[in-house]
Amino acid sequence: MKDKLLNEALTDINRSQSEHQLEDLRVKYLGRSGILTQQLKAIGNMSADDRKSAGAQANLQKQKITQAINEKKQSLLSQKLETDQRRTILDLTAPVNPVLGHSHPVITLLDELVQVFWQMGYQVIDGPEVETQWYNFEALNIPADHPARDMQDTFYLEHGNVPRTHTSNLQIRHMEQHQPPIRIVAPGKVYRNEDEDARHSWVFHQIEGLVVDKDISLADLKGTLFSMMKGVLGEDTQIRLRPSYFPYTEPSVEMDATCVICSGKGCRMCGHTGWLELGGAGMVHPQVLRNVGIDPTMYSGFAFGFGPERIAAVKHGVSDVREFWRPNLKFLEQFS
Amino acid sequence: MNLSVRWLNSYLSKQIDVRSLADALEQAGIEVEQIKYSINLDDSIVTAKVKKIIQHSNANRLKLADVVVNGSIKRVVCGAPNLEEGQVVAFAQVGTTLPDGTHIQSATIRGEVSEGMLCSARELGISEEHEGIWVFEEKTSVGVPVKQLLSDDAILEVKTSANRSDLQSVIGLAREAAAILGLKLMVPESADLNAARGLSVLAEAGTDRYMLIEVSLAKHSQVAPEMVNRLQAAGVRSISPVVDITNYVMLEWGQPLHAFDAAKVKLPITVRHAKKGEHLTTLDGVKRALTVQDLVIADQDGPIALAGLMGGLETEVTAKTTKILLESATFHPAAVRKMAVRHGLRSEGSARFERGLPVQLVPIAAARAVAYLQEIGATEVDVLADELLVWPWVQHVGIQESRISKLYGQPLPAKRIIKHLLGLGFEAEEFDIVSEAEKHLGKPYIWGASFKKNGTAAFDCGYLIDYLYSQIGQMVGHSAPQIMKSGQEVPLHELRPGDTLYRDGVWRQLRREDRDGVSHVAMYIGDGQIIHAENYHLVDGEWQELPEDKKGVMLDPLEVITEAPGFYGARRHVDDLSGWISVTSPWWRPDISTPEDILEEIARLEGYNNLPATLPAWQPSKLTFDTRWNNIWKLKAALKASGLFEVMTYSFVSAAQLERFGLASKTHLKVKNPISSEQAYLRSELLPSLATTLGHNTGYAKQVGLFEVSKIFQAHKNQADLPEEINHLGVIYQTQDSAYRSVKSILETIEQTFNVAVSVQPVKDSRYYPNRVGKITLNGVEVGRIGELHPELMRWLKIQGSVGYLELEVDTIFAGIKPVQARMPGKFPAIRRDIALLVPSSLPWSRVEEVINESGLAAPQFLSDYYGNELPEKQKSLAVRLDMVAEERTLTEADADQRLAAILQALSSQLGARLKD
Repeated sequence: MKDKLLNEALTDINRSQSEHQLEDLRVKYLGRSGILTQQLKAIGNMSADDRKSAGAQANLQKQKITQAINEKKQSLLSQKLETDQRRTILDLTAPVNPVLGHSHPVITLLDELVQVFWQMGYQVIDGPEVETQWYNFEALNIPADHPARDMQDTFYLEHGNVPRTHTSNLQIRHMEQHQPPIRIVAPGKVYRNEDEDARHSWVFHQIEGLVVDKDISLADLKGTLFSMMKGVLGEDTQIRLRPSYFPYTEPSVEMDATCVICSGKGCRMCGHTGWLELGGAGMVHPQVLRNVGIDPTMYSGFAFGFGPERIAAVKHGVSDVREFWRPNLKFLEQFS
Repeated sequence: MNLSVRWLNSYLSKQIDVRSLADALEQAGIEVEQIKYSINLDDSIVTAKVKKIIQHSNANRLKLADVVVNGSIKRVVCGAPNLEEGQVVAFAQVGTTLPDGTHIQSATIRGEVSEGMLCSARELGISEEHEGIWVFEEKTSVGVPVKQLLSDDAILEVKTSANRSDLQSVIGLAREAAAILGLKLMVPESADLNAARGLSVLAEAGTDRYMLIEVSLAKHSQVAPEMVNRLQAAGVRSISPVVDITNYVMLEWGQPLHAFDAAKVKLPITVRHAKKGEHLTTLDGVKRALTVQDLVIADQDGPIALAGLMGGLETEVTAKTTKILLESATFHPAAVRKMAVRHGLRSEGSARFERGLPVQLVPIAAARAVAYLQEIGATEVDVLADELLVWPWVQHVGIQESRISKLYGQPLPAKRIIKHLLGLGFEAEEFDIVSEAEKHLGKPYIWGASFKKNGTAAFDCGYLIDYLYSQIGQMVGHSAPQIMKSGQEVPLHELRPGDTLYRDGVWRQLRREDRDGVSHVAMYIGDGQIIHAENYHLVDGEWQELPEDKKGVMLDPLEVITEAPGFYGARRHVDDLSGWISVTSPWWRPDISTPEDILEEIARLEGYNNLPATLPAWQPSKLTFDTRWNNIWKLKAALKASGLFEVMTYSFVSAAQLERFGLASKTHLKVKNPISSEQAYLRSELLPSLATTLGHNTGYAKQVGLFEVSKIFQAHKNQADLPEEINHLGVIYQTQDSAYRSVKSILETIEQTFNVAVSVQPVKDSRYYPNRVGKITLNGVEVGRIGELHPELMRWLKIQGSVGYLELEVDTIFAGIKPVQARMPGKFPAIRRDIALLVPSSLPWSRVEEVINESGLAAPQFLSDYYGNELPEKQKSLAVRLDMVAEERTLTEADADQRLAAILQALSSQLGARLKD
């Protein structure tokens, strides 16, 4: 091939505007019947001397054309990227709305509690929500004329049973069937015939804990509540106990934990006290132990109960707990 | 309860500031809900220190003061002549409102910006003084709300626990504060009362003590203004001197009192249940029909008061009253509570009775009221009646240092325990049974002596032992045979002080076989000696009664009983008598009866802050594992991955909801006292709740699904039996068309998640779209329903489109979980054939699948079905994929043709299917 022809080929390559044109040029020169290919084939008919020099020249030309095509391809690709980039900009932040389900925040918290108690070696038990008055009251040392039995607190069913007012009924049911050592928690729904407001709904969840063994002490109760609240609310959590009264525990305490929002500094959620009232606890009343056939001179125990709704409300800044029970998807879609 | 801090302080040996009092009460377990100051100043008026003063450049009489508050410096323009550097002053910050309503804003005064205001006494609303600014003592702290410093009184709003009737009084609260703060309680003085005249009151059940005092009033002078202030602080209106005094004493001691006009009462009176048809017009002017459950005070003419609630209008004390009858009494808590509810008359008084009041309070409160009545003009005082219908038992509790320490979790020395208890008004001392017994040496013997009759002035043999052990709360019995029965036998060589020894005696000698047996008990006290209350001695082998002056509590050598004829042996009552503390509860603490109660007293005085935090050891004899929670979580994760919402809905539904969803309300458990008729029945399915919820969320999205896992309640025929509680999963799914497929997809998701094979068979269920509802069975047992909601229900719920619903018993599904049995990948390639069949349109896919599976020739897969008009009548087209494989070789096309033919043959003969052309 004459140098002129080579230059013409290189110019054509350089001028081409698309990969398609480049491919045509490649076929024209290097294809099976391309100009250069034909020439290379012809070399076979030449004399040995001519063959050598012509062969070297043709191979060099082939190399040059190949290189030119590759370079042009590369530059076309860069150009295309350049223009594409300028024309369409991908917004990396635009939402794409994946298919996502939504967990209920209270149940999520309840599930987390179960996990915490498993790690603490507690057995998680389940039991009836509709209960006899014996299991809900008498066995727990709440006699018939106790104020807690008044109509305003308890729902009664037509035939005398009650939707349980606390999960403490499961303490009794479990202790009737099991001898110490006992270490359980019982989560579930409870029902109170109380007027609703932003902090109270008439149905809510409770998680009840019970430990009965030899030599269980008040200090063990404090340590357990402390560890448990760290597990539930985070390592930095502190707790505070205040004396209280429940018919089924003696001594009885109220348990406060440092606010999860302000870590105890005081904020709107905790009424600027830095503390959240979480629930009640105490040493199992000896009469309750006797009621289930456990000798209180041999064994002692503690029990505690608190509500995930309250913790979930504070944790997520929910100012009205009734929202948890009023399934409003606009509200629930925030949780996953 | 609201109470004036100054009042509370008046019973303490030292004045305590509000904050410290509130803290002490909190530590005692009394919730301080609010502190209200008598001066109502905005919290942002605070103390500040004047750091620097400069002259205002544009006004001679004004200065610029730099004051420090909460770490920052504010510049204020001030014209007060008494302003000096270093003063602590009342600083009204920007944003504050003064008592006169002035709103403090940042202002420019003659060209200088003033960021707040320094206040005069008038501006603070504490006096008319306006000559200069109010200056505090130099050492006053900075940044404190001024109202806390200026208020001469504050009101504490406290909440006390239901078991502590003693805390419904200022004295009771002061007692707690004193114990926590280590102060003395200064109990106010009372009048001396004469012994009761013994007028019979004939009290019936419902009364423990009734005291009636006649007081002549020469005049009705005003009560001290401080009394009115304190009443007001407590939220009690001043009415008249006599009523104010009864109210005041109620707040002070917790004992409600009532005064009748004696001239209008026809004595004697009775406390009785009302008779049918009786009426009483109470002080509030309401004429009340009484029931036989009402406890009333009645005179000769009929009821004059509702016991513990309210007096009658007719016997009301007026300014003209010259003689009153003051009633101080104890009525039963339950009786008062029920009456209060029945008559809608809950009051400060009834609230106190409802917690149960001790009978010992009755004369104390009466005497206190008489003392005040004397101040306003009472002359003659005469106690007419004091009827005590119960024995005022003294409660002893024995606690053992070692056990209480174990329960507490840290050693509690006896001395420390005793110190705490004494501070609360308990009696407490270390108990040594021998020295306790020796205290009674020489006391006379009276057969049949008891605490009620003789106190500790005389004993018989059994009572002595009974008394000694009762000091540590041990009930060993009262007679010698009872005491012997309650003890554990102990051989003589192991005898320890406190063990008891028994013999028979004179009964045997007298051959009184009816009284044969143990007749005497003595207690071993160590060193070969016994102590006993003895009235007989042995003379020449015969029992003879001791002379009267020789009978009594005495020491004797051990042999006097062990070698007596008819010696029965020894018994032990308490394993370890060391380290005991004998505690006697004060009368105002009827809530204390066990060592655990005492532990609480000690724990709160020690302070829960000081309680160590330990974790209990755990040595279970066996462990129980639970898979249910994991399965629930796995289930919910799968549902969430399908884009569903988890919801919580109420367990109670309305009758209308039940009926709408084809459920008969009478087979459902009914709430007797529901909050509203919307929540009157316990649900037996989740469908009504979830469908209603979806109805409330129409318009949220065109396609949305919800689920709930919750218990449902199936009533038994006898609804008094506890219902079956079954965990259900409900899934509701709204789409624009054919929602059945959406819930079927959920069902298949569940099947695959747990590797359970359920089947769906068409059923009739009027709540669903006809022919689009099936029952779900697992191993032949129905575990739920799946279908598309009936258009009628959709209209009622106002839902557009199509709604699919699925409800399952989850625990039954979990019970059916089996591990996946793997199919190993075949060694030889499969041949795939897609075919189109014409089958009867009612033929379910599951039958086609069954027939192909039974042939064992191919694995079938459903591709699609088609119902078109061009098809033969009542036929549908079914596209099926068949994968055929042989285990031992590669199938040829010819093999496949052969298999296909066989399959078609089976389908044709069994199901009437044929290949579509």
